[in-house]
Amino acid sequence: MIEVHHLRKEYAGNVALQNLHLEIPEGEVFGLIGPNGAGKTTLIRILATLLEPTYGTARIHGIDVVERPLDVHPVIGYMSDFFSLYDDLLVWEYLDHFARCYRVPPRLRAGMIDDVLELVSLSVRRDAEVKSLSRGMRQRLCFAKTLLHQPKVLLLDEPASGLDPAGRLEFRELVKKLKEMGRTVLISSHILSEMTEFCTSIGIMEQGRLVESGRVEEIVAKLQGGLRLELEVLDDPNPLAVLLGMQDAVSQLSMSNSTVLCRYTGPREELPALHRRIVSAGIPLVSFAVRSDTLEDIYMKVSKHKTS
Amino acid sequence: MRLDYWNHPLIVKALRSRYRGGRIFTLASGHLLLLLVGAMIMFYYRSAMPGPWARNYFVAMISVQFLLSALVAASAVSSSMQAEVTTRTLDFQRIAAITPAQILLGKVIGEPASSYLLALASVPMAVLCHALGGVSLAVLVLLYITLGTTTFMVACLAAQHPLDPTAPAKAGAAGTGGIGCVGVLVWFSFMVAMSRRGGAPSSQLLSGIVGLFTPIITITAIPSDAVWAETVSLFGVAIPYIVLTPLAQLGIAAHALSGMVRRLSNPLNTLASKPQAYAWLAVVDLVWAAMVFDSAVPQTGVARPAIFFLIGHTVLAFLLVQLATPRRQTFLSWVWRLRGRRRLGLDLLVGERSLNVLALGVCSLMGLVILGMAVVLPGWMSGAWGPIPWESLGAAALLSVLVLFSYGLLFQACAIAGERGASAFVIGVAAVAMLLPYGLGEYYQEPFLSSLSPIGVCAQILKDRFSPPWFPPILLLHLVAALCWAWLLRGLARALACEVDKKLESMGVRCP
Repeated sequence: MIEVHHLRKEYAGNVALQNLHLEIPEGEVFGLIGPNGAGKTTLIRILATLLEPTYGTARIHGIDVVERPLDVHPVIGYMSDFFSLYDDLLVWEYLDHFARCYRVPPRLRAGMIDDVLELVSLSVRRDAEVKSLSRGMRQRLCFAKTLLHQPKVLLLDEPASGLDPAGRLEFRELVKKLKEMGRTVLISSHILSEMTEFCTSIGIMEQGRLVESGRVEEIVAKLQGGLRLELEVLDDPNPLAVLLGMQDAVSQLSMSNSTVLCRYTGPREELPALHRRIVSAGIPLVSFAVRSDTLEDIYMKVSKHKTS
Repeated sequence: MRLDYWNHPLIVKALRSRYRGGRIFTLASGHLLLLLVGAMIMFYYRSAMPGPWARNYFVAMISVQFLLSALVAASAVSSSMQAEVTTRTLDFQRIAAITPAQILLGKVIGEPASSYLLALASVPMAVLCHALGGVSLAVLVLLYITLGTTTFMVACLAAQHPLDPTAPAKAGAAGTGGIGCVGVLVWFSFMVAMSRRGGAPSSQLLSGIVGLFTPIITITAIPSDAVWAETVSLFGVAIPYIVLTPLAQLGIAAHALSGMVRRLSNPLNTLASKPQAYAWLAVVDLVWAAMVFDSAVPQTGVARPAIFFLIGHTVLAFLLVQLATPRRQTFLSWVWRLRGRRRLGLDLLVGERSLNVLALGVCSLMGLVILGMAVVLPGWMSGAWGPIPWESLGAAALLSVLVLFSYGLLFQACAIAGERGASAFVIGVAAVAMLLPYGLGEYYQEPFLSSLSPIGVCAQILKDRFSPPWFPPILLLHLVAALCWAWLLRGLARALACEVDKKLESMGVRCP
């Protein structure tokens, strides 16, 4: 659905994107992660046809975004991190303006406006002035505008940045709904914990390059370098730490209160044997848990926190 | 392109945001009331004014209407564009299903809706003037058409705006609307002064230009009931300004609109493509040739119209080539993406974002052909202009080509070397190079010094004092300058291409 090859963008000598390759299949929710200045916004703006790349090709739905921008427009919905609305209009008038811009037939306009307002929970503010909306509501209205023409691909640049916790929760549910509807979504965000919940794939960007990309579980498996074990004992954790330290497959031991944390690089099938060994050694084991690495862990491992 | 006025998103939006509730009626009725008060005052003092009262009032009212509509249009469109760019709301429209041309048409028609509304509000008073014998129906209708085209032209000019939200300075941003208003005001005053005061500006050529692009000549002819007698002569055909002005204004509007459409489609685009520049130059050159041909009198010979034509052509060609000349980022995008897609010669001739070298050649050639076909040949065939001074004419034509090449290439080199300031730099260089030798030559009464400036050469030819050697020094100067700039340009372009090739190799891409 989205294909990017050899993409490069220079701004007056600064390289924002360099030789970027990316393929996002249809129906994926792809999360772009990276520090400020990594090139996420530049990539999204190029895909939205608002910026011309210095070099390379970018296709959405098989259409070259540089050569045929007008053909791409009906396919994409774009929401930027920084945006303004028309404060003089009413909420429904704002959406009606964009429905007209997207050539939605007049007989369908009112229905579509009601549908997207319902989706973003703004139906009660349908006749309110845009200037009377709170920041979160404005964000939701802009998102409603993005969904209005039912685009196949959504390009969302930091869409949840201004939302309160409840708003973020709603937004997360909204993206999940879009995922169920089979839309392809490219989303950039700093809130990594939320990204794992709705992203099927992620890409980690740094200095204009894609450092890692792929399905979330594949990347986690590839980069986590073994399983993270969290074991809790009833009292002194030292005997447990000594026992674990004697195992070849265990490394990175650390203790806090009655908990021992370590990384296990052996086969998963041998974990029950390890558990038996601890219990048979008379250690009062309270819990034996395998924890997966979070996206934050992966990101901190991969990222050098450099901007382009 | 289809324009569904009442369903156009930008027009509907402009009407909704500006005229909610009864604002539209308040504005219209308030304006009509003011016009009525003005009519009453003029009626009270009618004995103090020459001519019929209704005619005097109509002239005053329509003049105010032209000024008001233009000011409102300039201010509304420029402030709206400024707001849309700085708040980035324009981005959302740029990626919608409407085309850039439709966005701009919506802007220039929707935003100054109050201008058109104020014009409509004045119609009852205009009809009253007609009923009282102040103005004929044909003139009234044509003047209102001109009012519409003037407003549209000003709106199109005000829509010219950079799309980079960080580009305009804050002060500039705040003052764009005001500057637009003042600009229009100055433009009106200047044109009035040019067309009707004594001295050189009263010449047929200058009043022709004023008459083509403004309604001033038509309006000033109303008191003497000579609207149809104010004509511009094109190859012997006299066309009244009242008929030609709307067409000329629509031409300017179309040119301004097409440049902004290209910018809106892609901010890296030049404001005109090379074929567009050629087409505009051909049309304007032909009109200019017709005007200079008809302004000539048999006693002055062919030299005078030829020199006037060459001056106009060179300035216009430079301006149009400048619109098609790529700046640094645009040229870099050609080097990265477009280079090698087609043969270099063809690319330089008609391609997007390539150097302006061949465009300068084409424009020069067009000037020479139109000079020959539309000025010299008809004059020679009429037999009224006497012998043709081939030597002076040849030197002037060659000088026009070399001036165009030297300044065009300098502009291209500057535009590639730095993103901003190329126009100001070249205009500064041209002003010094043209005015300094001419001024010094005139001051010290030294014809040789004066003849080192194109202005001096033109003045000498017009005064029939031009006696050049086989290759005048001024031609040599401009030839050397053109060759230097060409060499510099070649070096700059090659350096950029080498830099890009290295980057492409590092990306594992084969260089074009």
